[in-house]
Amino acid sequence: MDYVNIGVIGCGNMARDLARRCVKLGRCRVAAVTDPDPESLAAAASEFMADTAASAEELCNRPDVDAVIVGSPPGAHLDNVLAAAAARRPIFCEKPLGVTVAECDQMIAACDEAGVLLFVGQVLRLFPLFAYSRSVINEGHIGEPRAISVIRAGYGQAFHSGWRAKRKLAGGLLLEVNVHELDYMRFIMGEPVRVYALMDNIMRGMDYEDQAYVLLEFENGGTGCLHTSMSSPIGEYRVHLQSTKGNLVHGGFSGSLRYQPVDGQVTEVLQADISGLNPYDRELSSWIEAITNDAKPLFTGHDGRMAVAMAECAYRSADEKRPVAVSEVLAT
Amino acid sequence: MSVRIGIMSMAHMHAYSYAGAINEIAEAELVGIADHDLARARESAAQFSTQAFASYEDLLKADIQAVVIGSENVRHRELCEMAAAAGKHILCEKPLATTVADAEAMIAACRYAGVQLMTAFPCRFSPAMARLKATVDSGQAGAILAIRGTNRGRCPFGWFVQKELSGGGAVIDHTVHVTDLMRWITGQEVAEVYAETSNRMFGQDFEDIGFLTMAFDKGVFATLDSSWSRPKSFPTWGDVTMNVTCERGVLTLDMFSQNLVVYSDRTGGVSWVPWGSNIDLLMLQSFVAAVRDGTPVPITGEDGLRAVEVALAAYRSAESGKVVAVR
Ligand SMILES: NC(=O)c1ccc[n+]([C@@H]2O[C@H](COP(=O)([O-])OP(=O)(O)OC[C@H]3O[C@@H](n4cnc5c(N)ncnc54)[C@H](O)[C@@H]3O)[C@@H](O)[C@H]2O)c1
Repeated sequence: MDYVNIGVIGCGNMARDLARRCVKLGRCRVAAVTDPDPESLAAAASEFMADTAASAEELCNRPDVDAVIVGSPPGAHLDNVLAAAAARRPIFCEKPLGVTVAECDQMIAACDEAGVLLFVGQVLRLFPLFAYSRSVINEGHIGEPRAISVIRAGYGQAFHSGWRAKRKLAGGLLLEVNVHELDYMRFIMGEPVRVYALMDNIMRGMDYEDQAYVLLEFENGGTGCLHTSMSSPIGEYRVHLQSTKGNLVHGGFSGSLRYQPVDGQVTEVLQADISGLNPYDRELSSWIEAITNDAKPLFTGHDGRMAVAMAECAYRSADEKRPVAVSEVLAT
Repeated sequence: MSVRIGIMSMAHMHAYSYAGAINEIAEAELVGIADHDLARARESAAQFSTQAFASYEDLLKADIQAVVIGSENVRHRELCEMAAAAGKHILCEKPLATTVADAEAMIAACRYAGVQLMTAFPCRFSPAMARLKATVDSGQAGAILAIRGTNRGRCPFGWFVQKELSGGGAVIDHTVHVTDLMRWITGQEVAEVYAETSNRMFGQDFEDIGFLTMAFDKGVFATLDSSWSRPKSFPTWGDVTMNVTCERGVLTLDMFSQNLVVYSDRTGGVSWVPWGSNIDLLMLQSFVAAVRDGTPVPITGEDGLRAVEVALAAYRSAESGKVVAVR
């Protein structure tokens, strides 16, 4: 196939940006779009000069749609992914893959059965300082990772209205926002085994938590701590990684990354000095390469599912006030 | 499965040796060559029985896992960033870059892309050098006290003497090899440099003589003659030698002494034709193995950066007439 003809389900900000990037990468065109909101639909159709479809089923079954981007709110990922799998179209689904592990299992099973690719947009791993931190570990400068702490705090009006304010569609803060951080922690530390969490809803802007501490244990014996907040006008992003021969700290989306072996000097790199492909372009290139050339995708439904499982453990832990084993939520 | 490699620029003569080496390695394949100079790309591709690509972009879109960068020194960064963004592992000719900022940017781009960056320091693969290192590591001669090194050569002229392409003359070209060897065997970093340079061989606007005195951070000191001081009629391109003074002995190395002496009326003189091991081939084999197995390359971008820092410190010292700190 020369060009990948894309169908877009849920034409909001994210999906439109992704589609724009696909076109810019020079290997895709947008064939059709669908969205329950007439305004979003009309805007996307005119921007991409694409046909409109009345439903996900109709869109996925069009002969001119080769592959599908799902950009609906998280609570609506399941139905849309199932529609694409039924039509045997390879899928790019935005994170979180679903709002429960059971949903993820259903999507993965449907895609496996149909033999189609399920790619999940766990793009945080590809942001400069995040990707860089993994390479520093791979190169052995600071030994094996043993403890990771991530702070992500902010305050967004966008979360106080529309689908983002509702657990039913957003899943919760840990799902809508922090599957990114949970996936990154797993990317660095390996598989998680147990989770303990304390949560609160301080500002009541959403019908779910706007503050959480999540403690994690990993298979390698290491530990992790995520502090997330959507009630902090003074925002902060901070990663602190402790490993067997040194440590590494970075500022997430901006600032710098520093690492130092116990017996060596500190090395600092500014995010502004790192050149490379935009993270979204990189995930989309990987998706397209996987579709057209059978290349190994950067992340799959399995990664999406594991991040959702970590969040689900945290919710169960907060509800039941006890540590929850990851195996408890993975068992179906 | 073989490791598929492309070459980005044949500007450096070592690129020809690397291309030949890739062709000798059974588990590697030279997929193609791209160059600013299209004619050079075509000619070298014909010479090495491979394909010429019309642009670096085209080469990077081809089915390759790794590239060798053989461009003029100042272009290393641009090509490295392109290759990293395309997800290709990189073997870059030395000196890694002509400024610290460029070298750091290259390392950062590769770390961000999750690809490996190896600096081409073939001397580490010399069996004689490996023997010297093993002897030092065995401790039988005791700790290293001081090193006298040389890397003297014929002047390569061409772009090597155009600062806007090379970043300098003999010092940036020749300091990095032996500095890397000294770092490697001592496990120490160069802390301070005093250097004198001059243009008394050729009298042009580049330095052809460079002489460095280096103090390492844990006590070793060393001198290095990195001059382009061999005349045109010298029977080979140059030398790499080291004299390593240890607590209980002295080790001497003459890396390129395995030569036949050939007297030829056709070439009009005497030449030393090497019969010893092919260190470029050994280096390419190690790069190919690292790419194939996903294991760390033996010589990193940081090794390349550390050596560049020493060369740049030598220029600062020569300019100021003072001992300068490397970092
Ligand atoms: N990776 C990132 O950096 C990132 C950033 C922002 C959003 N996202 C993700 O992208 C997704 C969408 O977020 P957004 O910011 O674009 O939101 P948005 O509100 O801009 O867009 C959502 C769109 O989906 C449509 N929609 C609602 N219900 C639907 C349904 N059942 N089927 C199809 N479409 C439906 C809405 O009409 C709207 O047009 C979410 O999963 C979110 O987590 C990811």
